[in-house]
Amino acid sequence: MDYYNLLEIPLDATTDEIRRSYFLAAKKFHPDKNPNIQSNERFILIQKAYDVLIDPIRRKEYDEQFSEEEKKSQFLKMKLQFSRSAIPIIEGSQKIYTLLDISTKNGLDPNSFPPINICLVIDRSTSMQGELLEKIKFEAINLLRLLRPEDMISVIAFSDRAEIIVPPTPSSNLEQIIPKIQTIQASGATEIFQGLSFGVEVLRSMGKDNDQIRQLILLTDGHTYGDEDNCYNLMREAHQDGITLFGIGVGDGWNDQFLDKLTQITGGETQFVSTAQEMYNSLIDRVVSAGVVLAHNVQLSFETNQMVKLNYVFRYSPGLSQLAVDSPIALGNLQYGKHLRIIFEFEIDELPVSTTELKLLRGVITMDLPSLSVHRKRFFVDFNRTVKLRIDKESPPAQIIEAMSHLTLYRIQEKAQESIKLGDMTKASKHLHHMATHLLAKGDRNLAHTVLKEAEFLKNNNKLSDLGEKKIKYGTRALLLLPEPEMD
Amino acid sequence: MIICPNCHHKELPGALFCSECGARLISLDYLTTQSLQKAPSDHLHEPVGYSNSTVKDIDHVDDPELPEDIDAELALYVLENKQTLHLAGRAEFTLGRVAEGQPILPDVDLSPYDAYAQGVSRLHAALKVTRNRVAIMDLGSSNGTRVNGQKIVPHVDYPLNHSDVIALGKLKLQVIIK
Repeated sequence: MDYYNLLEIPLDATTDEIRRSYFLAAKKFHPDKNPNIQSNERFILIQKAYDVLIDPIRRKEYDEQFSEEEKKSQFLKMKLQFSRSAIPIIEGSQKIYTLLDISTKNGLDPNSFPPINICLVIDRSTSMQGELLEKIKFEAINLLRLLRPEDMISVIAFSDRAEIIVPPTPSSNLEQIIPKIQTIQASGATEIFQGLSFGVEVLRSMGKDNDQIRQLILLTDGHTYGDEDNCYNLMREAHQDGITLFGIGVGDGWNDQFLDKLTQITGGETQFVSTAQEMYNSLIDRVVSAGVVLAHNVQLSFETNQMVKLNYVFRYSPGLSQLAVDSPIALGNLQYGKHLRIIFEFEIDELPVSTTELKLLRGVITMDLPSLSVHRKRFFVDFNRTVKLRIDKESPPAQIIEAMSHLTLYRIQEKAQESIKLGDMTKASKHLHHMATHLLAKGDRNLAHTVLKEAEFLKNNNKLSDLGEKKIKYGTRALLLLPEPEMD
Repeated sequence: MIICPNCHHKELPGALFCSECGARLISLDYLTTQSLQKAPSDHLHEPVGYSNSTVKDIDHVDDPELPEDIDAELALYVLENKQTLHLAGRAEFTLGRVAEGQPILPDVDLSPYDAYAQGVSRLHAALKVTRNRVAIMDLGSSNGTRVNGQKIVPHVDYPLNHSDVIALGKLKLQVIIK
């Protein structure tokens, strides 16, 4: 295994970075902590890698195996846009928006994409009984035909305990997989942790060298009780190993906040489906996008200026998900031919009059590209703006306005939910009516209608209907979905 | 602070949309107002008579006794007719059109500019000049008042900047503050 990959560092890592990664890796695989033989071997390899890479002469010899292209690797484009060309000095605080756009350049061979390793984690609790479970089984089988022959699939079914229905199997092996999926029967309660821990274990046993795309797809219709924190911890660890979790919530009873947060940890996303067709589309979407993942584990580590606070981060391509505001942020996956677009909202304190430049954020973006011989890549990114005493009126970039106009509705929806929780129904209903007005203006009559119906429901029942609540949440979120992005 | 023209929620400068009602705020950036407040021009300073007065009521700043040159710098430019209306001598101007049998007449009669056809009410809006800003208030007009395309709520002051375009019904006027 490559020395750089062993230490999880990029080709151009500095001595400091080598040392730091070495300590981390050595700690993780130290024989005292892991008495098994595999990690023992790994520990020795890590030592060897460190010895070579820390010595400039030996490192140079080692580096000769890499082509010039690999060393430079200019296949990514990064673009930053700001809502203002300069920051004005004014009384009090102010806001500024930044759009980070990472895209791939042409010229990559789509056939060289790494194989994918998908684990379906299916909720088979009693509530899934009947048509619903049959549909899921049917769609899971359909899914197989979409995978490439070398792709691996595994299936876990869980209720209050989990069972490996299909161990990792090449997707071409249809006659082995299909009968097994068909045996899934409903029974028991929903304990998501059970299913996920099995899924993570199965994926961990595969593609240890981080040269595969590993994704968990969780299909559930229910609430999980009491094991939420376990789930968060589990996914945090799984994310370290490069596993992404995608959630698909079926029907009206599942816990959207929990699933959103859980998928957010790994850089994945949650989708809401109410019909079999939507579920099928959602699954297809997952598989197709997994097939073109170029880089996974894209992560932004950063620190902001002390005058600056990061308020809100949202990824709106590919997929839609609110992201964490604390470093490091899991940004998700970078897909071939698609833009990774993330919008940041900053709040800036009143600046001293002498300020001429403000570094909003200094950060490092790291990602793993399994198709390269050294997986880890990293880029430095600084969000910089000049500061002026006064600025002329200007219009922010259209992309930012567009994204914010939709994102604002999503956030008003969040506020409405918040008001309901606090018992302020008047305020919530006001929010809903504002949303409906904007939705009508945008021409989205269906969603506007749903929102108004829910406002009526709210008046009579002092809450939203479970289904309506999710429809509004995922509907407003979906407003941010762009038409297929242009290749450039 | 930016005040949302639609719901009056306060937003930080730089915000693009109102976080309460979703109204677009982009054309409503108050930077110019801010700088005006920081460096009031000679003409917009606190009136002498006012600071000497014993009345401490701050709300009373739109006192009609303001010296004449205070608002000499305010003008309205009628976009369609390319005419400029200089406004002077008062701290508050009502805008509207004069019609027969009307008990209260507006200070600025817009009937020469086809006000009736453009949907201007008889008492449509009021412009207020205070110490350091100019504001507009819709007086409950039938067709509403817009500032830079954004409809404003009746009976509430809404600050204006130089070069803002206000629309009374369909009649568009540009604000000139020097």
